[in-house]
Amino acid sequence: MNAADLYELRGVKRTVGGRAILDIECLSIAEGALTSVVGPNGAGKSTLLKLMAFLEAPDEGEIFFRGEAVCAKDFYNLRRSVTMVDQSPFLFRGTVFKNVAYGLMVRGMDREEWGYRIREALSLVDLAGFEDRSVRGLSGGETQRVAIARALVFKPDVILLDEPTAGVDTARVEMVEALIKDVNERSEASVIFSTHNIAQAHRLTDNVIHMSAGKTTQQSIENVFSGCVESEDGARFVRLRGGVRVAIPEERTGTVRFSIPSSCIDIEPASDGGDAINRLDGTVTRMEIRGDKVRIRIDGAISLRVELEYAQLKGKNITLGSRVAARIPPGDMRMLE
Amino acid sequence: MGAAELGIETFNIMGVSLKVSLAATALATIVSVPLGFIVAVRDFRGKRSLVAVMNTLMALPTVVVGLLVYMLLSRSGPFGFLGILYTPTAIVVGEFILAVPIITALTYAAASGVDERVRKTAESLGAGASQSAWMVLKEGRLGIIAAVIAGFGRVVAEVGSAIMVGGNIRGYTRTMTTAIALETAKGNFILGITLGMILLVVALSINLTVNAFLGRKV
Repeated sequence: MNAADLYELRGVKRTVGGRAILDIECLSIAEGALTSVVGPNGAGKSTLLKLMAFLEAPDEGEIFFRGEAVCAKDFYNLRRSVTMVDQSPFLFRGTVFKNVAYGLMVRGMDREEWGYRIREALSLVDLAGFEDRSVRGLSGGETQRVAIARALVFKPDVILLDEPTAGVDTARVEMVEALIKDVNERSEASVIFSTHNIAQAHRLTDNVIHMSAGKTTQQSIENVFSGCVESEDGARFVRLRGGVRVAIPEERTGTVRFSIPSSCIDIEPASDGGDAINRLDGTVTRMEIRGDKVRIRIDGAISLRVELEYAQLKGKNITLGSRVAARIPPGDMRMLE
Repeated sequence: MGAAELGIETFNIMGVSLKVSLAATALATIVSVPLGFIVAVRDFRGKRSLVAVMNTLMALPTVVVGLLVYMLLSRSGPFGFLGILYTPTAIVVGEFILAVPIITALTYAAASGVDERVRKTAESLGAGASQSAWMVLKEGRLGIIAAVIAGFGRVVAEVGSAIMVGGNIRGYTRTMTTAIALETAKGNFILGITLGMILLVVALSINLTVNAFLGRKV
């Protein structure tokens, strides 16, 4: 276990009616990171989140939180710093104010601080002025956002969000996604969210845990794209947003989904000309040193995550904000379906 | 008996009725609400059997309770030394026994019907066991208040136990229902019906008061 691990799960099993709904051999989640858990319905995402929220105990195995093995008697204290927002959140009878205040009340927080904190939390979720509204008249999306505000208001160390954009109208999905990133970046909170939307998972974070039939595969499938295969002068390619074209090596037709491993992509300072296919021009918006490697995020017409050796990057004169051209070697993409 | 005297006696009877019924309901509420709540939220062996017993006891005949309490409190009974037979206290004891199963069973039903997410949500927001239990009670309060009102309705309207252990002593243990029974036996149907109407008005007033209170709170 690394010192920076927030959670470590070893041999964790959860069984219902004799059927294992969760079976995790080993899983680590880093402290302070934004992590997504992605998988289809019934993959065990919600069960995993409930275990990490200390709302349920595993039937087998051990959960370590910040390096300490956790048992049921620790749950109450741990829940003071870890909170979870359910997929279909329940709002207590009464007003939005009373709901958002609940976490402050059970912590015995000074009432003078309530008003400011509640207003701040509600404005974060775009519900400023909703304090006196009864929860009865709220829409599904508003309910979801009140529940997120209720979790944010007491500034927990860990926020677990189960399908946070489920039920949120399309126009506000981006707002919730931005909020998730913002909470993670501005506060020191670790944010773990589940989604069945693989594109959303990768759009928001590099730390993606894939789940299927109760099991996890922590491999990170990055740079996932999909599109319709086009053909021109015998070449097959998929045209992505902004006209970015990616050559498809296989004999595929129709819609394809593929990932481009971050370690396969090469970057150079932007220059005019060159092959327009398999190339993305963009700006370096994030650089993160991990050991002897550097992870880079490039935002252009599409976003790409790139991983380079630190030594390899040094000679390229690329820094945060540099305009770069990312080149995708033909044939290095992995077809997903 | 003059009209004024009759009026005073009717008020006296109403006072005794309300006093014993409210006391029995209050005591039964103190015991039954936590009991029904615990049975609802805890899983234990024999829970289903206990619920079946509670439901059955809701139909406990008032005369059976009267007989039981009479045997316990009579001079030769185990609690005869207390000397409370034929007192309002004895009526409270009998009515308490009648109210407990009703309030317990209906509280159980109300708490069982509260959304499971209430407790989970409270816990995930940092609530302790008692704080989350309180939240479940608050969310189920309409059903629980209905349980208490049903218990009060049961005891204010019962006659069998009150007459057996209270003795229907004029100005002391005579309640609305025992007075109705007495007046009917004497052939004073008009007075019996009048007392019956007053009893209904009293019960209705209590219900309206509770509903008005809930209307403001919900």
